[in-house]
Amino acid sequence: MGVLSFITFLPLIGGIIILLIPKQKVQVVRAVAAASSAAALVASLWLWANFNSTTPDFQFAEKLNWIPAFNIHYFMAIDGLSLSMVVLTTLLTLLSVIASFGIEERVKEYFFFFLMLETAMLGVFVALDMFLFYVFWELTLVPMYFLIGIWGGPQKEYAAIKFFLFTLFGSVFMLIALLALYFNTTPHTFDYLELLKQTPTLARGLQLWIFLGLYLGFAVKIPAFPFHTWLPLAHVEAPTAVSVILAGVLLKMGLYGLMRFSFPLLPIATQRLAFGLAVIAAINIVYGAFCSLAQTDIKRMIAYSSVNHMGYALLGIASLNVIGFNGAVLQMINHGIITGALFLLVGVIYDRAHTRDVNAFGGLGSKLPVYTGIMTLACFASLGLPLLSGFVSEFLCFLGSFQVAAYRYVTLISLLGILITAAFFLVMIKKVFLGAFNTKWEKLTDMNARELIATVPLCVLMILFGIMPSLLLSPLSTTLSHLVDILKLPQP
Amino acid sequence: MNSFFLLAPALSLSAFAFVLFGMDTLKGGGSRNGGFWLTLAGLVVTAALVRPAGLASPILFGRGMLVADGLSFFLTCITLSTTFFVVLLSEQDNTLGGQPLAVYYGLLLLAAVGLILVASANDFLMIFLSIELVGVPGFILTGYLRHIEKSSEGAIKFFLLGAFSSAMLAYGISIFYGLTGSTSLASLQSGALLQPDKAPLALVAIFFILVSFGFKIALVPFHMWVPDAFEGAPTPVAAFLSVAPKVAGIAIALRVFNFSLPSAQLGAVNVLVILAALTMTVANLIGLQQTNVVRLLAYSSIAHMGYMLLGLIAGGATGIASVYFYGGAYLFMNLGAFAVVICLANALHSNDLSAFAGLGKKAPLLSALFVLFLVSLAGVPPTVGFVAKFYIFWAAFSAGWTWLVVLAAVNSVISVGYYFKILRAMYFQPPASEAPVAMNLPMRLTLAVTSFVTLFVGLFPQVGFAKAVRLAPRPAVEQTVQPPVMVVSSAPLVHQ
Repeated sequence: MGVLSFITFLPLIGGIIILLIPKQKVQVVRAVAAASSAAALVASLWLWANFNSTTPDFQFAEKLNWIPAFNIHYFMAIDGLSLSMVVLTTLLTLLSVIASFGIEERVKEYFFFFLMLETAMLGVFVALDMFLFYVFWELTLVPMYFLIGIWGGPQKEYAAIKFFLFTLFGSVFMLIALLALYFNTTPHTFDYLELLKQTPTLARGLQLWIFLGLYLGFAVKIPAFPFHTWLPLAHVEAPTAVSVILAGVLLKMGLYGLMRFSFPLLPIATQRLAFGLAVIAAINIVYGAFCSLAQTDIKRMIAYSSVNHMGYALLGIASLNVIGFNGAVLQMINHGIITGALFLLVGVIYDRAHTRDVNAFGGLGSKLPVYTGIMTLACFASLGLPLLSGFVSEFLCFLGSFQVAAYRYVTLISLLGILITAAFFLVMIKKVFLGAFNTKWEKLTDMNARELIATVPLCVLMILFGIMPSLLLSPLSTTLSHLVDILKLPQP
Repeated sequence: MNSFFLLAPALSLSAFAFVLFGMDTLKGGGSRNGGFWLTLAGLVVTAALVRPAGLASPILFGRGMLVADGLSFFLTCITLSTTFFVVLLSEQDNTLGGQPLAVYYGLLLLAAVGLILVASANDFLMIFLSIELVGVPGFILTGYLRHIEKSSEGAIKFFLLGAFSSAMLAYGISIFYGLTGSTSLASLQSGALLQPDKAPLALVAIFFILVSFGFKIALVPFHMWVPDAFEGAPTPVAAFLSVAPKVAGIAIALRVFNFSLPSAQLGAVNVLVILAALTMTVANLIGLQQTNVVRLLAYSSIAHMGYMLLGLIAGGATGIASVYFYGGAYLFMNLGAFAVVICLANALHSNDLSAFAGLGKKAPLLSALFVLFLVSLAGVPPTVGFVAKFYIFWAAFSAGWTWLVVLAAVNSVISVGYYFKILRAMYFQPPASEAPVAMNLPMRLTLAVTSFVTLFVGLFPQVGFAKAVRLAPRPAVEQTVQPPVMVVSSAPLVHQ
């Protein structure tokens, strides 16, 4: 068994161990959950340290025969793009597990589903056989359904099934697109590297259909307008740590899928449809920002800001150039870090005040100085203040798309989104932290150690990647240039 | 090979069935355990008598009325395992308590004999007779709970529609006989039916036969009896009816419309396509409205027949193999689901969805298994249900039925809506009652086997694919010379 299988299934093994622990030993359950996700993080950092970033080739490959009847392999390998997503996943999962120590109800099941979810997410990012990819993709659904449905808020049941049905609806079309890819290769295969050799030359009409099928699956996850309606609901109802994973990792699966599979496998369709993607991105940006502006529930506001931020990333990849790609992947990572932190912070205040209404607070700045400082930092990072990580990635996304002549107006309209984003974050900060202190909240306490452990690393990363984005860009750039090159190749 | 050897499974099961019938009169009703063990023994003995399929070429026996090939072997295995599990489940079911159970088991075995004969039938008369042999014990079993009105209602509906469809079948066969002068399936292949002067009447015959099969395997719009019969019948009987007869019906359809009838001709495929599309969509949409878990599973079973038809429509070796695989997968996941329902309903005294509330907390293991079976029925990885659906889609897609695959895929999304209603009740709602849930040994065994297969074959599907593909080669019935007209003769039954 190779290192990728090890990282992928480590959390699941932890989850199975948790099932064997007696129900009463809650502390042991928490310790095992933290230990297995920490081990996955350490292993993925080892991967990063040993990763050769000078080549776009896939590394740490593992290939076993799985279903010979269909020529399906158990095929895992990573390049820079997958690597960044794997590290993001393991990091956010560990922090979310720590943040979940406050969960008191059905602790065993909670952490089992959480770790199973981590395995599924990691599998999505390392699988290179499209059948295997699909299996992992679908495997994320069931634990997420239970995590939202059991531990969620008042409307949890509706949120859980809506999430499940939306995603499944998208992914069955993805499955049919995969079958179409499969039957248009000789010998029939789901192997990404084999597909890469054959499918780029498929006829344009066929490519367009397959692209649309894959896109339905990915768009629901991104979430791209008009498939985003499950997201605010799921985010608001999900428990804090699950929202972190949802925003931090699950949304990235959609964009990852586009960059990894749709674009390189179907370059003709990609060139044809890129403008449409850019338009959808602009809608995501502007519409998501306006929706955020209209919210009074802080968590809902951040949920819509995810729609807006994923719009930036989509704009970046739609530009089909190196700068845009770099910006998009950076934006995916930064959004994971920043929005993860924001959801954790909203969870902190909700645990104490049991409300998330912006208008219910006021003047918390003097009462909770640490919380206010961290929250303000995360908001500034999210709205794209220079020297914080969000700025770099948004800037690169816009730079990338501005280089494409056809996207000028789309980019200009999208720039509006930045203004509105700034507006809703600043309004929120003003209402919650500034102004007269609402004496109702006399008894609020500042963040405790567990909450700080979960959020401070993210804040450090926000500043670090804001000042030195090259830390992230260097392992990525070779891979991303290669992905852009594949798209540019004149097809015979 | 001597045809008595090939008939041995049917003969042995019948013998055990008649012994069981006698048991109640001898011992006077109190022989629940004896009957149970005798039935299991009968099934094991019969399984030992089953010959692996004559894979190279089908073996005709019983004056050409019966055939032993991959299909009949596969179905005999399906029938025996289904019956085995159903017998195990009956032991736990407490609605059956106080009934003379030896007769019940005898009837189950007799229905199994019918199914085995259906699977090997190579002649319309044989098909008719063996279907009746499944049907009559089926009616009785459905109405076995005499003191419960719903049970009788279900049995009556099942009986009336069953009789009606048998009449249709007989009518279709008679027209067919008039056209060809034979009831043998082999004469379907001769092409005689396709001559211009015969084709219109042949269409009528095919139509009647198709409608009759539609009733038997409950395709929409011939499905109305299923939910009522399932709800009224003892739940183990519903489990039996949800698997074996339907898989058998599909197999007959395979034999008639795929092996024998040149499939593209006479428009049979188009009719099947319409039936498949209707069956999936209507059953899933009605399923969304159900609040009784058994009725819900009834609609689920109808929808699954729709998916299986896709493999039939795809045809060819892959299509047939995908039907086999789906049938096997469906057996395990569906019987598993029924096992959980029986176990829970015993404790709760209700099949209503509201009674299942909060079971995730009260019976964590059973609920977790139920999740596995329902996820599998919904076709979500990593379960056998997903792989089976994938295989069917794969076959249909490669045969060019893209729109049908899209429809089936959308349907499997719809079906999640009702399968997950059960999950919601079990996990997201507070417990409705405090009744403890108990499992006896046969139940544990059933659950262990079904859940193991559901998960294991889901993860390592090659095991199942290899088997399905090996059995699937298109049996070439025409290779064996057949007497064109059925003659009544006193010659020995031995052919080969």
